[in-house]
Amino acid sequence: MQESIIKFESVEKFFKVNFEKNLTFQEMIVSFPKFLKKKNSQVYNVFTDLNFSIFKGDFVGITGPNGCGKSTILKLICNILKPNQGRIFVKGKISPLLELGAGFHPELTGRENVFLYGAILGMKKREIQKHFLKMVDFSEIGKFIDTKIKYYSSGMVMRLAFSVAIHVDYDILIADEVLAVGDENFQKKCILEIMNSYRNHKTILFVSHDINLINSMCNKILYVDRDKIQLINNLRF
Amino acid sequence: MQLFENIISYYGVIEGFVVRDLKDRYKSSYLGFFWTILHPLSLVVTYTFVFKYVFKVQIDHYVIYLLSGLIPWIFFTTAITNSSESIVHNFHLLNKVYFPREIFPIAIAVGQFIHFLISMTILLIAIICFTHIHISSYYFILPFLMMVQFFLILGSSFLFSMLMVYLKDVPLILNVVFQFLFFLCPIAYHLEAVPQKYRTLYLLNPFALIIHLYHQVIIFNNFEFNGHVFYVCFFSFLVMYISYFLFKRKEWEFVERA
Repeated sequence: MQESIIKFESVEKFFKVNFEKNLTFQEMIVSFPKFLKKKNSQVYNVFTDLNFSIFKGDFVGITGPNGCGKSTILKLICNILKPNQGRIFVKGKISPLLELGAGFHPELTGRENVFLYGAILGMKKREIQKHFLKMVDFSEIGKFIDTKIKYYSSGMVMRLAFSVAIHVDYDILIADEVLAVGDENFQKKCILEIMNSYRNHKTILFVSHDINLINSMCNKILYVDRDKIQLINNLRF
Repeated sequence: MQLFENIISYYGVIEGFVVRDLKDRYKSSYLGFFWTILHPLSLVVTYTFVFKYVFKVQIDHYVIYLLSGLIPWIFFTTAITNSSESIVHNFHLLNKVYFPREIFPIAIAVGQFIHFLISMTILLIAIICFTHIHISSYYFILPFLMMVQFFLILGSSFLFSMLMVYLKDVPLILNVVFQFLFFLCPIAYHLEAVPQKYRTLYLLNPFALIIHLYHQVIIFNNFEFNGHVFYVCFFSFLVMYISYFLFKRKEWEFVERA
């Protein structure tokens, strides 16, 4: 029996959605009796009874149409959102690959941002120093490491962010459509690096709309659609 | 307590944010570091003119008196207003990585505390060099006062950063309240100027009380652990405890509401 590293037990998640625009104070007074009576929020169910387990060493491709809960599932795993019902078990340290280096500060240099970003991802200062040269090397930023991030191209920011995240000592890597930026060369390098950690029995959650890519890399596919969410074993593996 | 556990285990993140804010502030403006000193000094010039020469307030060492009240006051106002915005401003991060939400207000409060310490050190050096105020053993009380003040600020930061998620007007409200409170604190005038019958009521305001205690220690070399001191300690811890409790109860809503 394999060890399950992420486990969803009858998880339910809904959001309250406000359909009315925010009232200003003046409007609130004018429509005060109505304002008290009317409930202007509706419940939007993302999923009601979600069960699945991901085992250690799985490479799960997550795909499906927009707005059906892919990111919600990831946020639940990262402990950013709380389920309204049910339970979620996650064992091990997560390294989230954030879109375009959210968490980078434009006024700081690349070097300073590596330390800031590393700290955000939960690395100790010593670990960052240990891996620093490898990170810079991998990102191919070179001499621009001491330039402020705001002068970087978006591809450069992405590369630096990816390099830091991949060097975190993680058990679970979450990549949410991160490969969209970056040239072909770097994309290949990233995929190689991800495959590499897959071989080292790390668990990887990989969100992408590229079915072919998912098919060729992942051993499981989590298909997230409006009324159906299912975990399928990839037939090619 | 959970708060201290979180601070210890997320120490690296707090440090990262504090360093980010300090660097950002000092790198992106020409006078950088000197603004920490220039801001209170510019206020001192105005207030000295208004209170000493127009209203003829009679206090020895008026500039030092002003500064030893103004520097804590600036710490209060900037730390609380800035940290009230911290949750909403860092929404893009909250939405992506997990760490305890209280990290953000804490980081702002710590950053402002560093500014405050720098200003206080400069003030002490100025006192030694330019005045004949006696530096007594009472000065060892200062760290204790600073800690009490820091806890009060931390508590208010939790409270207002949480409120800001639901009510975006919080910083604007705070601005008005602080403008009002400034004159309800003995910063530009002496406590003695407050009529005796209102004085107990006046000192119920913890901001006024803390600033009064700073004056007592720095200028008048006089401090005793009386009811006032116990009151302000109790009040600060109570504010921190209650705010933190509320903050933790609501923290899951931040991502969905902010």
